[in-house]
Amino acid sequence: MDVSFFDALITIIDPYFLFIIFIGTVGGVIVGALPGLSSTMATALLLPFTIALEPMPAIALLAALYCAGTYGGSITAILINTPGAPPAAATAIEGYPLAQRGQAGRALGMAAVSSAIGGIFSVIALVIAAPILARMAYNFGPPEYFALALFGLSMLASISSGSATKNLIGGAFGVLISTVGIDFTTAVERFTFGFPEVTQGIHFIPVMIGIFAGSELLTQSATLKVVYERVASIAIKLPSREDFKRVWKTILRSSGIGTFIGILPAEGGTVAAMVGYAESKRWSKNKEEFGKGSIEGIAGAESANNAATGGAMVPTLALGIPGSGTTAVILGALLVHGLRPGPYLFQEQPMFLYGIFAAMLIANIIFLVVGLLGAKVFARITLIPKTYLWPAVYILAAVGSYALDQKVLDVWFMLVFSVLGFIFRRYGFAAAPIIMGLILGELVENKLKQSLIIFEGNWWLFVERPITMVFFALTILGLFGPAILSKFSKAAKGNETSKSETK
Amino acid sequence: MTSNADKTNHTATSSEEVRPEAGSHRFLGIKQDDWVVIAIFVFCVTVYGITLTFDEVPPMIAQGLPPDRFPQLMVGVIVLLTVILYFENRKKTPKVRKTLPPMVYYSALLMAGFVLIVSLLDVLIAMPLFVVGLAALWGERRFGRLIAYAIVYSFAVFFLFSEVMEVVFPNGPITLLFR
Repeated sequence: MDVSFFDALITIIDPYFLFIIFIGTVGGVIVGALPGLSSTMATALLLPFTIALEPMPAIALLAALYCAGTYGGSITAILINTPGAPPAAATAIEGYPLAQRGQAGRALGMAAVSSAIGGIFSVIALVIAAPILARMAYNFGPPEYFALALFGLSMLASISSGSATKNLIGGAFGVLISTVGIDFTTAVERFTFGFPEVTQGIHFIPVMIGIFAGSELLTQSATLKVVYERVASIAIKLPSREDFKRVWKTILRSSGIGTFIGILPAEGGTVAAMVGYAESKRWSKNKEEFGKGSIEGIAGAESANNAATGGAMVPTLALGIPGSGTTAVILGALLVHGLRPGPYLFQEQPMFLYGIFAAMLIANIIFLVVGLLGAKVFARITLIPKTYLWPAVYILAAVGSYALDQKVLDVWFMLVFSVLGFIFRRYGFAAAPIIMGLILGELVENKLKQSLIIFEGNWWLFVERPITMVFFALTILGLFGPAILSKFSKAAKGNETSKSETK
Repeated sequence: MTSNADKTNHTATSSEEVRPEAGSHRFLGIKQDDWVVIAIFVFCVTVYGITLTFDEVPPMIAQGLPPDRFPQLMVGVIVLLTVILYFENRKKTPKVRKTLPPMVYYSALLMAGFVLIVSLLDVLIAMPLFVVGLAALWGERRFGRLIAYAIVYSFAVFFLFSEVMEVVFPNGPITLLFR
């Protein structure tokens, strides 16, 4: 079946699909605008609801929420100096000073437009790159997939937050959790402690919901006294011709940067936004404006973080390796719907995949319109009291954890991982690596076992396969690259300091 | 366009500024970061011990990787990384973490209480109780509004999942009335 992106786009322009995408988009903007609620958490909470839907609308809903959630974070970043989501941190640096100067509408307008352009750019990249990547992976056997999954895990070392070592420990812990249950080659029970309910393993949905949503409730309980200083919301303004002339290059550059960073396994919107922001400063003719309310800074950060959403979907759909925390949840949703992302999915269900791309494109257009028309309303959402919001979130978390297999034990798992997630976060261990480890763990172990069966137990045969060797080399680079780069940058800074002292 | 900043308190609890709370980087004379390392080691030793109790299988069935080997490999990786973490921590200035406010523990207890009531009593008892309990704990005092919200929200979630998504909740005195 020869299906193109445009066939899928025509299929998806249907009242039912448009309604689903609209709901996902509005939900995403609302969630993104609420401090503490991230698109990752929202997709995890929404996942159980999607079980009742067909796979295409289910994933389209989550993908739309993902796209819009990244933009939603900029509303609170600009109006209350609190990024609704981590990727909007750089937006707060420039957006809030602009808002304080009475230019909140200009900042919000620029955030909406540059986010939409970044998002649309990355969807185009997704449409082009994902099938190519999938075609390249078509001849991958178990050893190549094992090496690829290992590379994906190694990229946790350079994930945005926390120390590389802690991220890797988190990833390995996630992989360890994935070993709970019956071993698929020998049928031996592992870590089940005699509970028959655990023989199928610990499902990743309660773990994800606990780590992302439950632990956030505990974090919120520790910050009840925080007071936000809020700039009055005003009518949003489309960027003027003069503003647009100033930023169009920045938007294009950051869209490219964001898409590329998004494609790298494990990297997400936060890294993309920071790099996009730093590059917009480096190339700007008005460097002195940065930190005091630079429109270029907002454009750079917002186009990059939204471009990363499409970028992150590339390895997720083409290879089954999540590009970010949220795409790990979306990958989980695909698995729940019985779909294993990868080259075969491209061959067998192209309409489904192109439908997801089309849904993301439409979501970017919808959030531009919704964001421009409704920013004032969305800004008021931040006024919802925590005392009403968080009990409601926890109930959804508990019922959502139960809904999948209808086992109360899953609700207990959600509770345990809520507490564990809170402790991990307190001691600097990020949540996303654990989830990525959990999602990739089964793939790593199964492919390792299959490879060893093919190789008749000879580990050395791994190094005789060129693609495997490339991934192993990339894995080593992923593990040690950040440390080497930081040593180089420290040395360079040291040289600069000594030069300036000599002068 | 307006530039006036309106200060809005987003919480129903207090409008006080945040006060830095007491904290220390040591517990029982040992640095908190070292406690993390110790906890991970204890976890790894325990997990490794459990892997030794797995059923043994003949090499023919194991096909190159017995069932205990992969978890053991992961334990090894975690131990290695934890050693690196220990040396990294030694180079860094110990981080002073704020002492957790009691509210965190109370909230965690309420969360556990909710799951316990779901397990032993009824989800339709647990949900409104949790909404009212947590909101009251966090400082909400407008009880009439709160109780109405708790009941409407709980039933909305219940009917959404049971009727639309056909989820069967565990039997309980109130849940049975709607079956």
